[in-house]
Amino acid sequence: MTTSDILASALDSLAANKVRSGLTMLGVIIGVALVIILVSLGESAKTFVDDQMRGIGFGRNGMVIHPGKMDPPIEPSKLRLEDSREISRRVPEVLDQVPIVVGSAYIRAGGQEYKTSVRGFTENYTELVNHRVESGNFLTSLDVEQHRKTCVIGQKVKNKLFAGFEPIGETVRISGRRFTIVGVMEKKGEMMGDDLDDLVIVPITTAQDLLDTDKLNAVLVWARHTEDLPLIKERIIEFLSGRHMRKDDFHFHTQEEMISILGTITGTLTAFVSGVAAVSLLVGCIGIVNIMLVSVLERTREIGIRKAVGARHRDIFLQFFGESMVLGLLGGLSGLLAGIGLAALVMMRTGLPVHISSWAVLLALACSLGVGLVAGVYPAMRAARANPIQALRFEN
Amino acid sequence: MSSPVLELRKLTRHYPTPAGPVMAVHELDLRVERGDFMALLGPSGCGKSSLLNLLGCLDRPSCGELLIDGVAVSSLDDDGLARLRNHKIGFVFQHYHLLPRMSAVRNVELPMMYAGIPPAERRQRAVEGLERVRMAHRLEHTPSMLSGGESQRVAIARALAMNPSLVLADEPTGNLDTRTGEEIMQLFEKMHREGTTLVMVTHSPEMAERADRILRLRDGRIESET
Repeated sequence: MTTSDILASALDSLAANKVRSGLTMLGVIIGVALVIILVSLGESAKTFVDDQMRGIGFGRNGMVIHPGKMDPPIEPSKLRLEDSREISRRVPEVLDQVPIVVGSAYIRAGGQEYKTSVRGFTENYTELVNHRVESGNFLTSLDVEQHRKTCVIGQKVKNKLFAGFEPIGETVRISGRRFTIVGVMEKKGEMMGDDLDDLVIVPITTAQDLLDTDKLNAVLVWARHTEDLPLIKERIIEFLSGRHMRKDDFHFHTQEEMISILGTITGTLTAFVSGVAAVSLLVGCIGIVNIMLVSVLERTREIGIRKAVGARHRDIFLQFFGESMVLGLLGGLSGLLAGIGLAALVMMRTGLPVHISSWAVLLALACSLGVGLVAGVYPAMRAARANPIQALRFEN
Repeated sequence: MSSPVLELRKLTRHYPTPAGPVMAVHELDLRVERGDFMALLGPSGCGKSSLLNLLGCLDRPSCGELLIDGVAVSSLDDDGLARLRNHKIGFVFQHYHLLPRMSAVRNVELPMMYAGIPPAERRQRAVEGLERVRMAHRLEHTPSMLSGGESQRVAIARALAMNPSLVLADEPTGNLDTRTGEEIMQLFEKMHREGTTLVMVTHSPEMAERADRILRLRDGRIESET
């Protein structure tokens, strides 16, 4: 009996009971599809976050300092512009830093007015963050020093207020005050829920005047060498708490931390759905055992006939074992296709990069083969052990 | 070639029952020579089915000895018995016992498949075998599309597929009408003329008359031989 004989016999007998075979495979199909979807979605989300971080230039050597404690949230302490300047001066491992003020304001031009996000940055923002000026210029150090009322607008603002003509040199009113447009930012799209086209960037000093605050929302800090980040963190804590803040009045985020937070969330989700997948595969396995036992019983006479014409134990064993393996593998392949299809659909709908994890595919195929293997052994052994005389006399 | 096809020495098979052992086959001594056509005749319950199962190596004797082509069956393990059935014995059953999902030609190929004969060769030999029983026009028909006589012809082709030393037939005409039964008997006579060793179980004295030797069984013993 050759492998192709075993395969042909298995396919014959499965084809004779198409509906039954299909229903039996369902457990395996669902289990395998879940494995593919989950692992692929998890990896895709991780790639997405990585790309986003890199997209706004918040690279591996970057870190954010937020005033206030993250957990539990308490009244944010004051993190001031002088503090950010001092960081560059006092901590030599720091490559550069950008203080950030965020607020919102009404912006008005040519009789049109709407609310947009106002960001205050220093002039070095575009050098450090991967967010460039498309036309005109970015803010200068003089703009920052002298609290000048200059601004750079995002693509959406340009399209809303200056549809069809070049806005550089034009005047807009932000919260009623006159600003001169010096540049337009490139189109960037959304980054982690933040629309980088719907904003107006002004000098950090001007932003504080405009929003009537002396606080910062955050400071972005870049290290000369990524491995210095923990040291920098320590130095900053030391320096800031010496100045005017309590030790736990601010917290830090590195890109690695953000990815690991996301990892914890997806990890929990993955663990949960892996459980569901495992249960589904187990149920699929039991289903195959059950249907194989029915099949062995139904074909008792066939087993008797095969033995009478010379089938050995192992021939009968391999016949039924092969059938179980084919069931598992067909279920696995169907689940694979369903999983890939659904995962791709979800990714396209949610805007995640379409990515099918190759190790998930291997894992899923291994699972389905394992199910077929485990489920096949016992029924095939029963078939192989059948007594030929009783089997020949068996009436269905 | 000097050893007989079958040699039985005090061959015994008894079954344990709550009421004590039932002697299905009791201390039988018998030789069947190459080319013999022997009928086993007797009423139901006389032990002829039990004897046939022993001769066909589907069952093992309780005691005594059975030699097939000079090989002692008791020395073989289960795989050895399977090999013996495959190479030396052809079965023809009352209920044909063809595999229902397989075409006629694949049914005939079955013993050759278990013998490890490559697919192309076994297909060719199966077709030739079906031609010999005048079933060449029904190669791809499944058993459900065949009449009783046709099914039995396919079963005979299957029994002969491995050129066995011995063909065992269990009431081969029991399920057929007289005319078809007669055709099958003629086929057996032709096999006999061509040198096949045949042992046929029947309860019909008329059918038994067609054989050279008639062995009458009663209560697991030989009552008479003619």
